[in-house]
Amino acid sequence: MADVLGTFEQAVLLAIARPSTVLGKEAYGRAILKEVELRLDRPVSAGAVYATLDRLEQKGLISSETRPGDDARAGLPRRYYSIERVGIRALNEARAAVDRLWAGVRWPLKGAT
Amino acid sequence: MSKNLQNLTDTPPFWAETLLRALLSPRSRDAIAGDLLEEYRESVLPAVGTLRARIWYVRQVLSFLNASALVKVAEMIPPVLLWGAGVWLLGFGLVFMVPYVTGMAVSTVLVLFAGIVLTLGGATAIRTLLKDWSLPGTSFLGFACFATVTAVVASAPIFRPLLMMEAFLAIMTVMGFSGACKTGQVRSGIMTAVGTSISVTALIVLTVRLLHLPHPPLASVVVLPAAAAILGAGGALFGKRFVYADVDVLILTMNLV
Repeated sequence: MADVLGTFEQAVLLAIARPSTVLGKEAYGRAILKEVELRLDRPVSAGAVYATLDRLEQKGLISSETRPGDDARAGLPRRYYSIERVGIRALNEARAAVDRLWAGVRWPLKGAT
Repeated sequence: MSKNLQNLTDTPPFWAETLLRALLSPRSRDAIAGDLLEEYRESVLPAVGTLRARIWYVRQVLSFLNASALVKVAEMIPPVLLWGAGVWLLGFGLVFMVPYVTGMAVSTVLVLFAGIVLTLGGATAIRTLLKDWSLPGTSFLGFACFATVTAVVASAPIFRPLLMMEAFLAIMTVMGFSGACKTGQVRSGIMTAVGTSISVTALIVLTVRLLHLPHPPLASVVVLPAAAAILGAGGALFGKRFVYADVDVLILTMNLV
C-alpha cells in the first residue's frame, strides 16, 4: 500500500476528483483552494494548497497542464490539475483505512471528553 | 474609472509580487502568481477594499515563505546538522554572546534561560487548559518582551530605568492594540495590557530586590497597572479598527519585532 494520505492531502485530492462547486470543477489552483476551504470549512493558506499539489504531483497521484490565462490575471497562465488512477486508488485506500479503524465502534463516542 | 475596471487594473504591492516570484519554482511561478492576482482582483478587493486586500496578498505570500521555501531549505539539510547548529548557536549565545553584551555572569544567564524555558513550559501547560489562548498568549508575549529588556538593561554596567520605562510604555500600547485586534473589544485590550503590566510589575520588584539595584520607592510601581490601563486603552481604541482575520499577520509581525 502506498503512503497513507493525510487529511489535507485527501481534501485536495477530493477537491480535484469530485468538485462540488462550479468554480471547483475548473480544477486550477485557485478553484481547488476554494473547494478545499469549502470541504474543510475553514480558511486555508495558498502556500499550503500549492505545496500539497506539488507533493501529490511528485508522487504521481495527480498531473497538470497549463493553459493561457485571461485579463483578470494579466494573461498569466492557469495550471489545471487532474487526478490519476493512482490518486483514486490512494483515496480509496485512505477511506478504507478509516473505515477499518472505526469498524464496530458506535459514533459519536460517549463518555468523558 | 468604473469600479470593475479599477479592480482589473489594481495590482498588489510590487515588493510582495517580487518576493512571491522569488519563492516559487520557475515551473509554477506564473500560474500561482496568476491565481493570486485573480483572487485578489475578483474576490478580495471588491469585498474588503484596497488596504485589506493588500494585507491579504502579503499574507498569502508569507504562507509560501512558510510552506515552501523554508521547508525546502530545511529538507535539504540533514536533521543532525540542523539540530547540531541549533544547539551550537544556543550554547554560543548563552555562554559567550549574552554575557559579553550584557556584562552578566554566565551562571546568571543560564539561570535566566532556565527560567524562560520553565515559563514557556508553564505557558504551554496553561495553553492546553485554556481553549481561548489569544489574550493570555498576547499577554505572555508582552511579558517575555519586557523580561528580555529588563534582563539586558538591569544587568548592564549602568542601570537605566528610563529605558525600561520606555519599553514598558511601548509594550503596553502594543498589548492594548493586540488585545483589541483579536477580540474586537476595547475592554479586552485594556485587560491584556493590565494583565501584562501586573506580571511586569512583579518582575521589576523581583529584579531590583535580587540584584540590589538602585530604584525609586517600590510602592511607586503601583502606578504601572494604571499606566497600562491608559496606554492599553489608547492602543485598543486604535486596534479595534483593525478587527479582521488578516490583521493576524500584523500582530505576528509586531510580536516578533
